[in-house]
Amino acid sequence: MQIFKRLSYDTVANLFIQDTSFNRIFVFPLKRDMANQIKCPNCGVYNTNEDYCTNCGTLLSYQKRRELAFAQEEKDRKKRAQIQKETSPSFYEKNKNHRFLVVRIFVKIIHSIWMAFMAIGMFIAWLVSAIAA
Amino acid sequence: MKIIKHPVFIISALMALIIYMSQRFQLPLPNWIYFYVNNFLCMPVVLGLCLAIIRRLKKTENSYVPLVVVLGLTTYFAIYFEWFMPQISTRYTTDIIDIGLYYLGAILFFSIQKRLF
Repeated sequence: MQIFKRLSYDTVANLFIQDTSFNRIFVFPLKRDMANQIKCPNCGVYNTNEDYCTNCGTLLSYQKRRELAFAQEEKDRKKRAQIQKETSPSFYEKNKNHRFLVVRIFVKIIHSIWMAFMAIGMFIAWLVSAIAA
Repeated sequence: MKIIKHPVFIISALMALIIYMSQRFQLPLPNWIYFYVNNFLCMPVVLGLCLAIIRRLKKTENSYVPLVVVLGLTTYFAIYFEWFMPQISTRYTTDIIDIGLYYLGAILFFSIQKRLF
């Protein structure tokens, strides 16, 4: 009885339903052995140390399920980003193959890192004149 | 970091600063130093500083300024300091030699940037 006191009602009931062999009852209730006892959310069968349900094949492992969910989420996110990029391209993406050469050159200039270079240079010019004057 | 720590950059920046300071405190120096040395040093120092910032931003150590950008920024400086500023401040005067010195410094920077930095 002392053993059963530590168990939840569900586990004890399940013991008698699922596995009534004398041996099994005395091995099973130890807490460290219960760690991987998972009841299948789909069909209700108890599984020991299994990632997938032995009866219906449903995924049981908490970790695996979470990993799969993360992977799915990542895939969805990438797909959404792709769609977003296709439906609303940036100013550069839209105009880099523009039919007018002037527009193409303008876009290339704006997009290059040397635009930032010029901006920094202009800022320094302003700074120098502001300090000197 | 390579540029800012380079002795040539440090010396030219310090020289420009010292000349500017001595101008402020009215130390007796030859007129040509007051009028022309800073104009000559301006572009190499500014371009070096800009390149250092761009390298920091892009996290690379081997980018160099293309000629078009050097000339573009020099033209901006020439217009700004020799045409725009004289209109709003009496401290600035238009001088064709200054513009020549800007371009000389810029071309010098362009030709030696790959050897120095």
